[in-house]
Amino acid sequence: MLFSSTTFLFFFLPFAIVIYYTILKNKRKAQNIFLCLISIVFYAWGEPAFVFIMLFSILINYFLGLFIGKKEQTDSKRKIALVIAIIINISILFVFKYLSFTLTNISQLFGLNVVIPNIALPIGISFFTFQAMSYVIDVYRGEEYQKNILNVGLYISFFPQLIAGPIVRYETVAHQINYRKETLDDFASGVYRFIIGLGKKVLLANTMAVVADTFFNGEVSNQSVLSAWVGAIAYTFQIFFDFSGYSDMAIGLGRMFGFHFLENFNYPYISTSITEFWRRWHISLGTWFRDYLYFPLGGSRVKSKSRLIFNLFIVWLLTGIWHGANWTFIVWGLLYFILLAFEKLSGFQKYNKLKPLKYIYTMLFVILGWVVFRADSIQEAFTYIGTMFGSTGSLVDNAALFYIKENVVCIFISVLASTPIFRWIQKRFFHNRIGNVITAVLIIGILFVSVVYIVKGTYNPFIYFNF
Amino acid sequence: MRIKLDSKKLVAFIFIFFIALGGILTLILSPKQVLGGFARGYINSPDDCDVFQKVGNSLKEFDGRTSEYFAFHDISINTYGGIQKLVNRSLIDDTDKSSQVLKLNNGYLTFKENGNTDLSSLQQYLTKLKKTCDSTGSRLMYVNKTSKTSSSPEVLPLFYPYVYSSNFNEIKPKIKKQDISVLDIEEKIIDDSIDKYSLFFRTDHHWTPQAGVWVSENICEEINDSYGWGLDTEIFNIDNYDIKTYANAFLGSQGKRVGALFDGVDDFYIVKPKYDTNLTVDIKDIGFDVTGDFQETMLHEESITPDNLLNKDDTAYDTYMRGNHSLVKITNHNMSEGKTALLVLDSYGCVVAPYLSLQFSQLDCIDIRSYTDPIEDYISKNKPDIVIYAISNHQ
Repeated sequence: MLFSSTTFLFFFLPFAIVIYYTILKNKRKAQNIFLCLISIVFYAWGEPAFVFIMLFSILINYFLGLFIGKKEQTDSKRKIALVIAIIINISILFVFKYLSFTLTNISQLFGLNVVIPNIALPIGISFFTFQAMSYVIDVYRGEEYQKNILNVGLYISFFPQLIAGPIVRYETVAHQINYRKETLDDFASGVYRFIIGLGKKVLLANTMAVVADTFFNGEVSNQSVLSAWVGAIAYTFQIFFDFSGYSDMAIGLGRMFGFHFLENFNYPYISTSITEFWRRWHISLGTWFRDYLYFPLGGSRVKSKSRLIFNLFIVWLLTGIWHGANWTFIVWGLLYFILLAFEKLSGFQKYNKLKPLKYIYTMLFVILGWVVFRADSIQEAFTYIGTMFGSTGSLVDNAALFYIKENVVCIFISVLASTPIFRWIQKRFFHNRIGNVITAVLIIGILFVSVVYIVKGTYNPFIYFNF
Repeated sequence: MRIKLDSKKLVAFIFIFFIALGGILTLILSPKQVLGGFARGYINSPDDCDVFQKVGNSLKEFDGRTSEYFAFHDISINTYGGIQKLVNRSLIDDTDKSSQVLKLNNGYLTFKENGNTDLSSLQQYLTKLKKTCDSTGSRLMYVNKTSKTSSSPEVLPLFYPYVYSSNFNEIKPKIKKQDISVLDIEEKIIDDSIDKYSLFFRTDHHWTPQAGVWVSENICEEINDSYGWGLDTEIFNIDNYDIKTYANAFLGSQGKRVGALFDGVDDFYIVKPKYDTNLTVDIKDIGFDVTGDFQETMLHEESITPDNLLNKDDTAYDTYMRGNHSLVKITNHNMSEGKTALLVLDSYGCVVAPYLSLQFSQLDCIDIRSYTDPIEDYISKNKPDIVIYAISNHQ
């Protein structure tokens, strides 16, 4: 089920809120069971068959968590159980996400005639598998384990963050599962956040998606340089507003039910280095890899540069692979490995005088990265990048001008919304009673306009099918 | 407990109230349509689907219906159109990119068309059809329709990048060479110096009923020119018809996608002969078999719902011939000695067939989109004097 659907907005969500705050009020155990059950329904709504994979993951991680969490077990036994848990989780992910890709490449590399199984990818498998691993790892590291399987189920399957993140670390919500405190202030903040996220997704991301798809899908023949750039920049906005919109909705929904998730985006498109960009983009994934992979490998505090480069290589190779089973994602991950290694080794971060140039450098590679990320194949990516730099066609064509003209309002708002300017304006001018009323009216306006778009049924792509 | 209300909390209350109200009202107003989606999705699943796929289809159907029958559906569509107008857009998005609506400079709406259509398969099909017609002694005629954007680049919005073209002009002589008569509406419009857009509704891609009369006249003229049948084309003089106007009563296929605020609403017209008519119309699909005058047999004015322009179940266009049906048989008792014809049509034919039938003793209409048997078999069995093939987008 998508947040930006009438089923979710007008049936699922009010049902969940009303039951949670009326019949189940002050009954924490019942509330958790209820949230867990409706989360399973939420997941099953999209792909009923795949719900069993998630249930299997919950079951396995619950029992291994029980074993790992018991202090009377020896360290070595707990470690073995942790390794088993990680292997099982990665195996689930591998089979459903990477097996076909791996076999295809082995088959091509060695000229074998391997039968490639056609395995459908369960939605959000990368998100819930990483959360499941977070559970067993954090329990191993000393977090309280859950005695009730439904609480593990709730943590792994909680519907706000289930299909598009953020990846909520167990340590973040371990205490909240049983001891969270719902307040009206929190609820109201959650509603605000949810509506802002809904607007980002429905009004900005979906509109930019039409532009991006037009140019990436080759609907316009003989693309010009400007067309290629318009498509790439449109996708840059689409993926940001789609992803951060989903994160805002997830954070807002979590808050409505008393959960506090960590931020996932922090205006990444104002970054003046790739290092800074990744501190601001998909923060939950970055910190997951940092804490569960990069630091255990030694992080930056290693004796040799080669070890540092190796650590970065592993992290960014896996970051690329995490996003999808395609060489485009691997190349995209390795592009960031090269850029981050360059920045770390060159002391790039220390040069503060050339900020405009640093900004251009950062956004150039971010945009080129998105082209690789968006393309269906490496060849397609390079062809598209070639067009961006004038390999074919003219400098300007009607298609580019037409789509700029058609979407000028959306582009303008997208540029502003990518920066903290609205937050600054709100703090500077609207931080008073009248300002709050104006903000409230704007929020309600965003809600109504978003609903209008949802009901109308505009283009509403789901871009996380690879994740 | 006393709640200190601030604007943020007020927004939260409005939010909860709105989403709960939206859901409850939807279920109260359209319970069968919405909840029936579950059953329909399951039942309509292909046989080779497993139970999970069937359940998935049920849920998808339910999802679709929660939007379609949403309590504030119509106001949402109209508001959407209003917003698009406000931001000065001419190409309007849709869930399906092939259903994007384009507003032309003259205010007419059309679906976005793009690319080159190769009509070679049409030519091959007509060759095949001609053989069947030859075996039954039937004549064959092809009617090439026109679209709102063809040959009219001046109506396209500034910088509009899409171009639609077909190779009809290339295949036209080849079709004619096979002794198939061809009526090219685009050519007729130029020859008769007609404003092309006067033939169309503004918010729909279909012809108006007045255009239906004009097209019928041209079909008969072409038949007379090709085969010397002497059909009476004078009866198609528009002065021979009463025209009743329903003001602001119709939103066409494009109009329903963008709402009334985007580009306004069309008038709808009832065009019926002033002269005496005696027809029998038999529509098997809906069990309709009525004998009477033009009004009684051809028109269903209940389909005109000015108060419900976004009506999901009905459209004013269905007034004529009661909409699209796989097979409609029209018998004209005032022309019992006349010729017989088979009109192979799509939705454009709904406003043509009623008038065309007035010059034939029998006019059978097959909608190629829903008629499942081979048309050749129908021709062989019924041996019409002429087969009029009026499908442009032949697949």
